[in-house]
Parts: sequence; structure tokens; C-alpha cells
Amino acid sequence: MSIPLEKASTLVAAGDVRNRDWYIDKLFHSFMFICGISAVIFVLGIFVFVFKEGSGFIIHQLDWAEFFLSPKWRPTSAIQASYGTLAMVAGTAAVTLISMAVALPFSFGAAIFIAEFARGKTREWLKVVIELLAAIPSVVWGFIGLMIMNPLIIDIFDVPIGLNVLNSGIILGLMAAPIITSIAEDAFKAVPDTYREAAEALGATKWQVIYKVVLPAAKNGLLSAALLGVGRAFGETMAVLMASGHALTIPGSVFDSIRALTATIAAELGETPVGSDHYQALFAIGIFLFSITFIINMTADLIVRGIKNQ
Amino acid sequence: MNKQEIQQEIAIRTINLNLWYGHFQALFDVNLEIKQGIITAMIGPSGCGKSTVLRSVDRINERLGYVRITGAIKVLDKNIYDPDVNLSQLRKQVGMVFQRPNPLPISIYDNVIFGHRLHRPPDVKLSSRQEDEIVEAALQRVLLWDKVKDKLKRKATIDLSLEERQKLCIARLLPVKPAVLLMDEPCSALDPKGTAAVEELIWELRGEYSILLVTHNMAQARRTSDECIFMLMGKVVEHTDTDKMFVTPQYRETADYIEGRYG
Repeated sequence: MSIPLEKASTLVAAGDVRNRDWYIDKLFHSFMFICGISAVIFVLGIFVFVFKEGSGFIIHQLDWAEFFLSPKWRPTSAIQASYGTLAMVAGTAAVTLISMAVALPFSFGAAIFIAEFARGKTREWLKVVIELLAAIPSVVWGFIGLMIMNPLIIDIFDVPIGLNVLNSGIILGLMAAPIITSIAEDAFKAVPDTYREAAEALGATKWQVIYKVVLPAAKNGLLSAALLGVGRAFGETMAVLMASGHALTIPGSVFDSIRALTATIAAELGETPVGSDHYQALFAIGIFLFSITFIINMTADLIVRGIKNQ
Repeated sequence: MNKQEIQQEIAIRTINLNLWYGHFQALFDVNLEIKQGIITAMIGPSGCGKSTVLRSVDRINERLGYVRITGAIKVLDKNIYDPDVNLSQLRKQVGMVFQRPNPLPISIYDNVIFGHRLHRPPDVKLSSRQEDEIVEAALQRVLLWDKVKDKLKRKATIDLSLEERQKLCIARLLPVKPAVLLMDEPCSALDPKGTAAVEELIWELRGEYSILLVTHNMAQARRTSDECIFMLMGKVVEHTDTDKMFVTPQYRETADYIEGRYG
């Protein structure tokens, strides 16, 4: 049935369409738009703020070679203040490395189990428990590092102090595991089931299917999961502050205490006069951290996008 | 080949096969004898159980996890549901071609050699020359060699047409020398030209392999098969020579289906 032409023309010429529903619709639309772009606004705002606080120092006073190559962080020295971050970068990198060594096998193993073996209730329960692991506040992790891991490491390895690279690495690894697991599981889920079916029909065992087909097909997703885990470990503050010993040294073994970039900011910013060189140097570290996590997350995101476009 | 001679042996025998998906019974006392070296087609309306029979012969439907079976399926006189059956060995003997071509996301070369690498004993080392020969022979057999010989190292999921992918999926079964090929509507995703090419290939493989082919397309069953099985509601209605079935069907249901009154 078609609408008679005359009626149709009266529909078009109905005049003002701005009734109550129209306004509600527009209002709703704009509100959602603002919510939608708020993330962009906040990220830009934070970036501008951090950059503004640190930029004066970076442009006028920062000795780049010293900043990156000197292990001496003596911001309060009256004679010769120096702002080298090498020790902290090395410490942070060491802790991140250990944390990935702890987290990756566990997370990928857990993700393989959840995605390929577990069924029904087991799978649902595991996913809930892993989410719970992600919800533990970082100060609680720090507490575990301080009160449980510390004496344990002293006992087992017979070392004078248990607040060190090993301790904070294990703690950070456990903290990064849930996010790595969940993203790795998504990567396995994204592998079409027809691949598994095809390989099984060719006579591949479960392990051969995973090893020869699923893992290669999911490798980009796994890489991106690992990168996000690195980003998480790199940027974590409270737990690493409590478990690392906070000593400014370049670690020679996993039993050395270190000081993380993040922990330095957290520990020192509150006691620094606003606008002082020290204050601005801390913000320079902030910009440095921001850039690194930004690059890591960006890379992970690009890799994931690469998968989708295939 | 002498038709009488190749019809003596039975490749697949099902004995009182009943199958349930959860609480739903999909097969009722299916008794079939699929002869060696010929092409047997299975036809019937959607949901009649023809794919279920097919997917029971290499036990691939066990992936679902809620499948229950009574009765027996004998492939080359061995009950494949015996507890001592090695699934991997069974699937070496019984190759499967799926409805949608499903090459693995690895190179064309690796796709073809995949099964061979799985099944060769770990102490057998092949030179790359020997592997090359196996791959070439398999691709020659499915009439794909000339088209892909310059891009063997490229990913099989990228620049092959559906027809070429399906041929590749057949080619990768051949290096392990299976006795039976199961084909689950192998042409239903292809265009008419591709269908003709793959049908030609299936006919080409006749004699060397026992082929069980499920199809929705009655013209295809008629063109490509020696014997034909008609199934309805999980039961076998009729199993006879293809020529006979399409000219003088024994049962009313078969005749109705063939003439397109339902299905």
C-alpha cells in the first residue's frame, strides 16, 4: 500500500517538528556526546597539566645526558643538585622484567586453560576469580610484599633484606596477570573454531592444535596482552614503593633493592616546594613515564587493530 | 577398474547406530555398508541426520561434548568406538572435507604438509626435497599445482578463491594416504564453475579412495555418485545404485523427495 501523494505532501509540510520529544532527543544526544568525548578531554587536560609543570625545567635547566645517563638523583643537594634517572630506569626495568617472567607463563597458561579446556561452570568461575584478582587494591599487594614476601625471601634465600627486585617483581607479576590473562583469552577466542576443527580432523591432538594452530594464529593478541602487562607493571606505584626497598641503586642481582620511577614521584612530590627545580624534575619524570606507557599502549592497540584488519 | 571387483570390500559399516545430541535423538538404528573405492552420496532434507552420520565416522562430532552413541561403526573392519582406538590414527585413515573451505592460517605449503608432519614417526626425518615432492604430488593430484606453485609460501587464507581453497583442503588430506574421504557438502559454498571443478576432482579421486559425500544438491548426487543413500528423520530409507534410485525409487518417501515435494 502506498501513501496517496496528497497525504505525503502534507506530511512533509507539517511545519514545526520541535515538539517535546524532539527536545528530549536532542538533549539526550548532546549529553551522550559530552560523556563520549570526556575521556579525550581528561587525557588532554592531564597531559597539558603535567607538561606545563615540567616543561619549564625540561626546556631551560634539563641536562638531557645527565637525566638519562646519570644514576645520581640528588635533587635536594645544596652543593650540586643532580637529576639522573638511570638508576630508577634500571630498577623499574629490572622489576618489570621479573614481573613478566612471573606473569606471562601463568597468564598464558591460565588463558589457554580457560579458552581451550575449561567448559561451562568451571570457565565462568575461573573468569570471576581472575576478575577478583584484578580488583585487589595495590596497597594490599604492597602490604603482602612487605609483611609476607619480605620475611619469606629472607628465610628462603638467606639474604639480609627481602624488599628487592624479586619481591616487587613477583608482586607486580601477580598484579599484571589478570589483565594479561583476560586479553590473552580474548585473543584465543578470536581464533575461529573452524581452524581447530580442521586441525583436529587432520588428526592433531589437543596440544598439537594449540601449539601448531591456535598459538600462531593468536600471537599478535598475545603480544599485545604482554605489552599491556608491561605497561601495567611499569606504571604501578604503591605496591612497588612498598616492596622494592626504595634504594637508589642500579640492581646487580634480583636481591638488590631498587627505587622505581613511579615510587620516586609518589614519595617525594608531597615534600617538595611547588615550582621548585625538584618539583619540576619530578614532573619531567612524570612526562617520561607518560610517554613510555603511551607508546606501549599505542603499540598494543595497533597490534590488536592489525589483527582485526586481517 | 572392474566394477565387480572393487565392490567386494566394505569401507565403512555402521551397525545399529543410534546417536543423541543431549536428549535429542538424531539417528535411529542406522545400518549402512559403504563400499570401498566408489563414491557414495547421502541425500535427504535438512536435519535428516546425513551430516551426523558423516561426522560420526571420524568422530569429529565428539568435539561438541554432549554426543552419545550406541551401536558400532567399523572402518576397515575395526570398530572405531572401541576403547583402544587412537583418534589421531583414525583421522589419518579417514580424511574430512568441510562445507566451508577451512585452510589453516599458515602457508599453502604448510597446509599440505601439515597432516604428514603430524603423523610421521618422530624419528623419521625428511629432507626438504622429499617434503617438496609430497606437496607437489598432492597439489598435482587436485589440479592446483600450476596455479599455486609460485606462491607456496603465502598464507592460504589470503589470495585463493573458494574453489582453490576447497581443493587445497582436499590436497592436504592426501599425503597421509587415507582410506576414506568424508565430504560434507563440499561444493555448497562454491559458485557453479567452482562446483563443476571440485566435482570433477572428486570423480578423479574415485577408485583410489572410498568417498562418502553428503549433498543437498540432488543433481550433484546423481552426477557424481555410484551409490546413493536417502535418509529421513534420522533413519535410512533407501540405499541403492544411484541410477536406480533416481529412476525407480523403491519407497514413496524417496520418490517424493527426489521429485521435490519436500526438502
